[in-house]
Amino acid sequence: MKKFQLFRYLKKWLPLIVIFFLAMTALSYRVLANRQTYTASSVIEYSNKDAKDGYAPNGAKIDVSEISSSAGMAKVMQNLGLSYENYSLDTLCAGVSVEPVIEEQAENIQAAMNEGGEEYTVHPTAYIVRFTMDSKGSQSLARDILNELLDVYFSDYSKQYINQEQIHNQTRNLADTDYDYLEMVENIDAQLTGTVDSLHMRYMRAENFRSVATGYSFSDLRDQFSLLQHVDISRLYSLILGNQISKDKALLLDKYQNRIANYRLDEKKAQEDTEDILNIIDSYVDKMRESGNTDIDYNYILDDVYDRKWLSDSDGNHVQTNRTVQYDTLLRSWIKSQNKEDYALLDREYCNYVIGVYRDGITELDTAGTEDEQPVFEIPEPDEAVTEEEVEREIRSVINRMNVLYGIVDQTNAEYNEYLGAKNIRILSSVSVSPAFSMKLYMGIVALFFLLVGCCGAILLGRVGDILEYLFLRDSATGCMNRVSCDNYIQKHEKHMLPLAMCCISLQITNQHELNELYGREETDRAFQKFGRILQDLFGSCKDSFIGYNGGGQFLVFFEKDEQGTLGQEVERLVILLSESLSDLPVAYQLGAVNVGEAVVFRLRNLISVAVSDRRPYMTTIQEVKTTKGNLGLNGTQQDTD
Amino acid sequence: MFYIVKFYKPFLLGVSLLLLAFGLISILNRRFPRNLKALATIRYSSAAKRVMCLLILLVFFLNCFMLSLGLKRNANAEIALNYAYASQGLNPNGTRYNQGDILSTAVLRRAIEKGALPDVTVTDLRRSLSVGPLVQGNSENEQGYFISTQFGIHYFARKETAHLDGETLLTLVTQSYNEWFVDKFPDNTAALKMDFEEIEGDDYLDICKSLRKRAELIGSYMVNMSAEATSFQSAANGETFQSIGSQAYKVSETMVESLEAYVLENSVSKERTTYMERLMFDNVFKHFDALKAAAVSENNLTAISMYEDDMARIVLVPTYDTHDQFYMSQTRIGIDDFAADADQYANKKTSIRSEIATNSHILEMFSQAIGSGGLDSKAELLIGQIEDEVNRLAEEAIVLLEEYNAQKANNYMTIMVHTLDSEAKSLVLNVLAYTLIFAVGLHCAAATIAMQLRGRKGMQKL
Repeated sequence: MKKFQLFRYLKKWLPLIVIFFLAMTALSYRVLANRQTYTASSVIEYSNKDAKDGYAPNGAKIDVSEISSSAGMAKVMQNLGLSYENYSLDTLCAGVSVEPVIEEQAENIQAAMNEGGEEYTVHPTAYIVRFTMDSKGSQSLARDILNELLDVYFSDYSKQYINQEQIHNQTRNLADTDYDYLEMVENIDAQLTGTVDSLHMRYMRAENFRSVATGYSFSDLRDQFSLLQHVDISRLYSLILGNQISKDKALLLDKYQNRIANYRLDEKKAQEDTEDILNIIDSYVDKMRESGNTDIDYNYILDDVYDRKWLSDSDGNHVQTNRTVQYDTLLRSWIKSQNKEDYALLDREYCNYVIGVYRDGITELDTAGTEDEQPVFEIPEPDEAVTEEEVEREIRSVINRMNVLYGIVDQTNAEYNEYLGAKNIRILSSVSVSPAFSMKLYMGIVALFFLLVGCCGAILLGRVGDILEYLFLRDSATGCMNRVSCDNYIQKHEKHMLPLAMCCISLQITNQHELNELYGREETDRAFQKFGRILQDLFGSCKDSFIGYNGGGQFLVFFEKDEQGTLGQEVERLVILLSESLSDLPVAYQLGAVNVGEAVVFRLRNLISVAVSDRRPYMTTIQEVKTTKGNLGLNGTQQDTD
Repeated sequence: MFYIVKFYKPFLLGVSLLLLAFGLISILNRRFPRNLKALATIRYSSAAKRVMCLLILLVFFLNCFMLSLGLKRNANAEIALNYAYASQGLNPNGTRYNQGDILSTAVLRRAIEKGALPDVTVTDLRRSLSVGPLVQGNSENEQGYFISTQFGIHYFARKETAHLDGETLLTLVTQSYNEWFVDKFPDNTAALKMDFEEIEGDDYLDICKSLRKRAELIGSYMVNMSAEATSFQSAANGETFQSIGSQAYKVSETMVESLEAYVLENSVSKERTTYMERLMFDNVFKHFDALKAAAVSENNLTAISMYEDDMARIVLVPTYDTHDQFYMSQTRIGIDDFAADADQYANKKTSIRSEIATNSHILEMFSQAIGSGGLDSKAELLIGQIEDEVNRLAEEAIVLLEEYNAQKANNYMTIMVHTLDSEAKSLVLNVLAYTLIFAVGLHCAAATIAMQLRGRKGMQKL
């Protein structure tokens, strides 16, 4: 069998190794890329005072699952321009996970206290927010989505739990409604009062906040709205009431009459409530006195201040405890009811005034006997009467200015929400992204693996080929291709035209029988082996060479000779090598060599026939030792066959 | 051409490695040590030498051309945030910092417009650029928490952007981001842009109110800024936030007051009748508001008087006062709240009545005047002077803020774009390395062929 030559196999299968390596590496890349996931993570911490008890600034329970809400993710998709065709909202939401970060020390305290029988739960304030994206995404997309998600959450958190009072512009399209002019102005006035109060509250909470987007602070905006109310709304009232402007005076008067009736009912109800509450207060006080609960002295006073505790309401929200005594609560109810009664009375008077203005043209209010008693001034008649169109234009102008201001308020408020969000939720670690596995490392390992597999496969294939060839296609005695191989070769090439450079050598050992008898089988086998090896050494590296042992001491050699040497030279070389190698053994053989071009024979079988017929006898040695056992011929020389 | 440049490096590397593998395997295949020695000492024929040198030279020049082209299509830049809030992961205004803004539509659009980049859309640019922190923390481990303040931008050409120079593009993008950032997070001066047109039609007393508010707006803005940068002084006019703020308040306190006094004392009004009518109606509404406030205050006072003495006990608690002195405080009961509410509404009532009294005073003054009013030249002159002063202060405030913004903007971030010059060394090394790999591969393959040819010849000679 052929020797084990590692690099022979590699060389033989090199193209296959390269193709296998490239194909498998590319395939592996596809498989690994499809299995790759990217996880972006960041650590946030709720930093408001009650966060350590698990509550947001407004007392509601902190619910971290809101981070992965579909509403938030939808905003993220919109902000990043991710289409629903390419990305599933549910898949993205499912990729978000929030895990609390609990310090070991806190855990130990909880365990120790629980063991001691005390109920104690650690409320984490820090959380790891993770967003995992499948192979559809990339590291940068995972990072962008988590960044945007946190931005959206911070803003929503602020809106929901901190900056709750929203300022809505409810008068945006008021001018296009069917309200009468006076009602429109009343609505605008009420809206402005609410806005001014709300902005003032915000200013009190964040005196130094100034939006970089608009350049305004809450106090600036409050003043703008306040100016609008004091100047423009006041002028509008004057224009409308002073000129009794109305879309439909009769309808307006009916409405105000109806309001008076409603206020009267409110007043009556409030009076009844007041009486009821007074009765309850009297009964309560009497009973408390009778039961001796009013005789409280210092002995009833606790040594320690009662703990100020927060309570959870039915929704689990954090609410401040209220231990106001019932007596105070009853008195508050009385005040409230009394206020309602007074307000109803005053609102009724206002309606009467409006009716007086529209029906009788009485613009002065009778304040005689009140603290606001005013002198009556002589107001000259205006030069021109004000028209409905003028009032409508004025109202539209005011609403337009309000809309501009509300636009600025919205922008300022949005930034304020982001600001509050960032103030109440700290970033402990900014977004970092890590792939599930290192693609480069894995691809390196995979490539190396497939290179090794390719090489090992080539070696295995080569060696298996050697074994099979040895077992089935080689002659074990000579190491040349066996008879079957010779037949196959002849059968394969017999129909083809042979190239001009093709040569055939037919070598027949003629004294095999004598050699067996004289030198024994082993020596004869050695001689056959030598023949085979020399033929392979000489012609094995030639182009398209085939060296076969056809049985019965006959060797067949086919090869294409190169242009530099002649067939005769090759034959000469063979004869010399045989003589040198087998100088101790007188092997008689016949050798015939023929070249296609020289013999002008283009079919294989014919070529073999010519080579056989052209055979001439040779002898490997003329050593005298052997001559005693029989004259077998001259060393290295052609025998005289005649 | 784009794909040729893109795949040139892997192609050349593949060919070189194949040649090397072919050569080495052939050499190691037979007569291993001897062939390896022969590989080092082999001498080629002059023709073979010429062909090989030509090939290596060709590859060298190709490398010089293609690798430099490839370098232009890949570029890097760095952005380091320098302001104080950056280390907390916040923007200069205290909102959360988002690195995604570096490649936001606004920034990329600005870069395209700035560089007048042809045939490129925002989407093309976004696909060709990526941004990430240069150093990122580890969220899984408390010791690994880190807030990134340095970000790397990487440009890798795609077919749509292949005609752009990477270095130029990154310079445009980083500059646009800087400009966008400076535009977005400076102290906005929009509120200081004074427009007096909208109050031109108002009556004089309303103009007084508007002018006062505007002067106060400048004053409060400047006082706020003064708290942030007390010592900052304008190089242009030497003003500080404090000085402009106090000037603005002075305008409100003196100039506007003078105008108001003149208007009242001389009963100046553009439409006196309308204005008086307005004040009269205003007083009606205020009267109702005052009555409501008075009613609430009265109801609270009544509740206090109704409060039964024995229904609650007051307990004294030792505590501290605002001067950190011991103080004997008492526990709060209902009447404390009622008293506070009564006081609050009484104040409100008083305030409204004061406004009513002011309106009545104006009405009294105006009712003594003759005629229905009109434009008053002195009032107009005074208004003009105040407007000029308010405008001057607003402009000075804007100049001061812009100077302050510019100073801050210079310190917001540091930008570094890796230029082709800075990459020259690596380019030279790359060219040499790739040429060397090819030369070695070629030598191995050529030596193998030469040895095989010589081996055959040797056999023939033998």
